This record gives sequence, structure tokens and C-alpha cells, in this order.
Amino acid sequence: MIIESSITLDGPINEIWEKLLDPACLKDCIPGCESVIIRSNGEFEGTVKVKIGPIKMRFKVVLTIVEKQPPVRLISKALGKDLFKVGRFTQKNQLVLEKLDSNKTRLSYISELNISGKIANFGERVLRAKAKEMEENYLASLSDILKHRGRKS
Amino acid sequence: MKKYKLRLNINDIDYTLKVGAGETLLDIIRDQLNLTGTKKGCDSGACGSCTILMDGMAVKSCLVLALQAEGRKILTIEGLAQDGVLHPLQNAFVEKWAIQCGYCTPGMILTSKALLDENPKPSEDDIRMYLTGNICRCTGYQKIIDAVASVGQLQGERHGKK
Amino acid sequence: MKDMRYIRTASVTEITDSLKKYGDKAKIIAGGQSLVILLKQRLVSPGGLIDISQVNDLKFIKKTKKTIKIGALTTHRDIEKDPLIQAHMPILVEMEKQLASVQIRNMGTLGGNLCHADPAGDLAPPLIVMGAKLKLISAKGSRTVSVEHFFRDFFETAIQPDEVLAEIHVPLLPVSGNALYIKHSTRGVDTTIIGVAAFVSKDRDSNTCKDIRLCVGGVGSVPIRAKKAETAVRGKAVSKKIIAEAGKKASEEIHPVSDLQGSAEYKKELTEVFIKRAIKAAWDGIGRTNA
Repeated sequence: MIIESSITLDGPINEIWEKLLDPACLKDCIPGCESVIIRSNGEFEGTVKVKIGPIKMRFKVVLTIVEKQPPVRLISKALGKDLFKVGRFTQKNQLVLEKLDSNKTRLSYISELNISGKIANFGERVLRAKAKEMEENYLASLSDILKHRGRKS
Repeated sequence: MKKYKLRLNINDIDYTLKVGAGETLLDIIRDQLNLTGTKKGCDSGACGSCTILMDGMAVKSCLVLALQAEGRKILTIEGLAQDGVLHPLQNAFVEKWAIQCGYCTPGMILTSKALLDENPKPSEDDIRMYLTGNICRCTGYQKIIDAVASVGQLQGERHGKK
Repeated sequence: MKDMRYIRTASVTEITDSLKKYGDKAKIIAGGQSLVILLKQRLVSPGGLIDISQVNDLKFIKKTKKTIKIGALTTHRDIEKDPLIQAHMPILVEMEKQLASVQIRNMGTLGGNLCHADPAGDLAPPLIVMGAKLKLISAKGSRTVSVEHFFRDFFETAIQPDEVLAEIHVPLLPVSGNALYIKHSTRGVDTTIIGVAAFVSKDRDSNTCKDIRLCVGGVGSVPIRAKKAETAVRGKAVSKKIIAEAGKKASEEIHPVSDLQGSAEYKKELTEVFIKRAIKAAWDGIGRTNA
């Protein structure tokens, strides 16, 4: 399934680019994310908990950067395996940053997500909506962090 | 597997069985009791080929856990004919060419029996509505509806006698 | 599926005791029409099942002066055939006739349907527009939640692990009011793509809309009250123009997701059309359908 969206963020383009690749920021913004580390080969590895009603999943995710043109374009792919064996996903992401002014950047992404395993039986309509919800939450969290940076937490 | 005692009546015979919590009524009918007239099609409650009557109600046995049938009276397709004499619905399905591969047939007949028990002279709309949960890949449904309607006529003529 | 413990209960106390004992390690099973599918697909693997299907104390339909109280184990088929419901709440009968198939309706319960919380479920929107409330019972006592606030997310409700949904209380419709449910699906009784429930009441003196409640299922993670659409109609004369405005507002305030059953734009359009149809049909039917 294809999910796409865009959002205007408060921040200079370079800073936002850094945040997109910052493990601590990824951990804080990705809903259900428990940990993010960078492996020695540059891959990002983390665990993300996802819950749909009574169905609980815990994905071990490996994210690989395929192409990067700082600070405007990032192409990555991810592979997620659920530790409860309920599902699996592969994802191709294309993310574009556009400088609107010195403190405003437009982030647009298009994501191709494929879900397999038992969870896929559950229904495309629910999965699509849930995936979209998670992506929107990520962007909202990122936007919040940028708005409140500099304030003591 | 943890097993629990299950007592139920199937086609006028009382059974005491040992079943696991996760086994469905369909599983035990087919696998423990060898009553294979009830079919496992989609095994997810969509096709209706697993339909049996439980206390007179049409239910999809793939969605009923066996232990939930405790103390109930079950009718499968094998229990419909009496002393070798086919039920009027079975005769009608044969006469009206309402059977091709036969896979949906037991479910269709039992659902139709539940309909006629509730509504002895159903209209075509009534029949179509009642059979919504039973899918047929072969016949295009019309002959099935004709078969059920013909039994309705017959029952109507005999003033509701089964 | 995984080996499970099986606990059969015969009373509400036995249910709440079992819930207290097992917490969220066991799942309640009523009609099983949603849960057995999840179990078979191994999407859920509880350590045990608490079978409440034989608790007859939770199977009833009774009328009080202002409400109809329905036990949570009442089946969809019970509702479809019940004379009290047919007389006082035909919206529920019409909804049930379009829900799944007879076999599913014979087993599936109202409580199970609500607790499963499928955002496209047919039962929630009618109950929401009629202002229905739910009684939840635990070993500690009971509490009441409106159906509208019961749903939290996809397949997630406000019910706590030690609670069981026991009763549904539906206020009777006022004499000057009417409620209607229409749904769109591939075949009449298939999974709902969009479902719209409308309640309207008339101020007889001014012939304007006294109150209106609209609820759309299938366009979000929970059923959605179309409040902006309601504001466009409430207190006003129900003209074609007002109805059209309500439809437009409803399509603007929902945010459906594109999927195999339709694009987001299509679902918005469907919602607009169905809101208009539902308001008109409910309004025209005032005075005709109530006991």
C-alpha cells in the first residue's frame, strides 16, 4: 500500500535533516518505539511495539539508507519482523525536504508498505489506516519536538 | 492439549467427548465423529458450507467452539433423512437440479430447513435473504431458490406439515 | 491454535470472579463470531477463554418507562425478531436485517459486537445517535459509559480487563423523533464500507428540527459523530438546502483512508450522499414509525 503525506515543520532544513537521522529523535517520535541504535555498517536497528485492539506485535526493524542527498532527499528501506510472529513488513520510503524559509521546511514523503503474515489477513482497511496513523503520529511528534526545542524538559 | 468433557446430542444420538478449548464444532463433527457431510470450506465463517442446526438455529460450525455446544441438540446433513427416506428438501434439490459439485449443498439444505421451520411459505426474497450466508460457486443460485420454494409450496399445500 | 484453559461461567458473579482471577490472561467469549476468527488466525493467543454464552441473566429485552434495557448476550437475531424492538426501535431491526447472515446473527451478541469495536460495525452508529449507555460490571461494582465514548481506537474500547459489558440501555425515541440507519457495502450484508445513522426530532410548533444526531461508521478508527453537520440542521427548518449543507459539512469533517473498498474521496462523497438521504428519510418518517 502507498501512504503519502506532507507537513510544514518549524526549523531550518539542515537541522531537520539531522533529526531525521538521529536515533534519539527517531526513538522519541516513532509511536511505540522502544529503542534505536546505529549498527557498525550504518544501518538503523530498533524495536517498535504496535497494538491493534487485542492484537499485539513487537517488530524488530532494520532500516537501511539507500540514497541520500543531504539535506533534501532521503531514500530508505526497512524490514520489520514481529517477535510474536504475527506479521512482517517491508517498506520503501522516499522523503523530500524543501526549504520554505530560514526557519520553515516542508517535509513530504511517499512510503510503499507491504505487510505479510497473519496480520495481513486481518484486513487491508485496518492496516492501511493504522499505518497512516503511525506515520502521522511520527510527523506530529517531530513537529512538536521542533516547536519546543530549547525549552527545558 | 488440555481436554474437557463435552456432552451433546447429534442427530438424536448422545455423545460424551473429550475436546480441547480451541477445537471448533466443525472439527469434532468431522474428525472425531467422522460425519463428513458438513464441509470445511473457508473455515472463517464466510462460505456457509459448515452450516449445521444447533437447537434448530442455523449456525456456522467453523465459528462455534465445540465446548460452547455443551448440552445442545445438533442436526447435521446426515441426520436429515429418516429411515432411508429423504427429507422433502433433499428430494427437491435433486429434482430441481440444485446440486452440481455438491459442496455447498449440505449447508444450503440445513439453512433452508431452518428457514422453512420458521416460515413455512417463504417468498423468493425471504429465501434469498435467508441464504445470504451460504455461497455457491456452481449453480448461480436460481435452482437452489426454486428447490426451496417448491418445498414451501408443498408445505403450504399440506398446511405446514413437515 | 495454542492450547488454552476453558472456564465456563453460569452467572455474572462467576464472570467477574474469573476476570479478577485471570486478568488479561484470559479472553471473554460470548457468541464467538469475531473472536473465533482471531483465534483461528492466531492473531490473539490468550491463555484461557471465559465462556459467558450460557449466562442467561444477561439475555433479556425489557422496557421501562423511558428506556429499553438489553442484556449484552442478546443476539442480533433476538433483536431482529423482538416485538418490543420492532415496535419502539425499528432502526435496530432494519440494521440487523443488513448485518452479516442469519447464521452469524443467531450466535453473535450485541455485547460481543460492541466489545470487538470494529470501526465499521453496524450496531454502534444507531446506538450512538439514540444516546445509548452501557453498564459495565466488575467484582468492584459497576459503571455506566455512553456508547459514544466507549470506543477508543481500532478494536479498542474503554472496558477494563476486570470488567464485563452486561447491559445496553437505549432511551426510547420521542414521539416527535425518528432514527434511521443506512449502509453501503459490496453486497447488502457484507462488511460495511460506510454506515450512517441519523436521529432527528421535530419541534411541532415551529416545524423546525429540535434535535439531530448523526454518526458515521467506517470512516475512522471509531464511529464518528458528524457534529458540524448536526449544527447545520439543529434549530432550523429542514429544507433541501439545509440537508445539502449538512451533507457537505459531514464529508468535510471526516478523514477516511483510501483502501481496496474505495478512495478517501469516494468515501467522503458517499458520506455526503448518505447523510443527506438519512436526514431526509428520518425527517419524513417522524410520526409514522413510532409506537
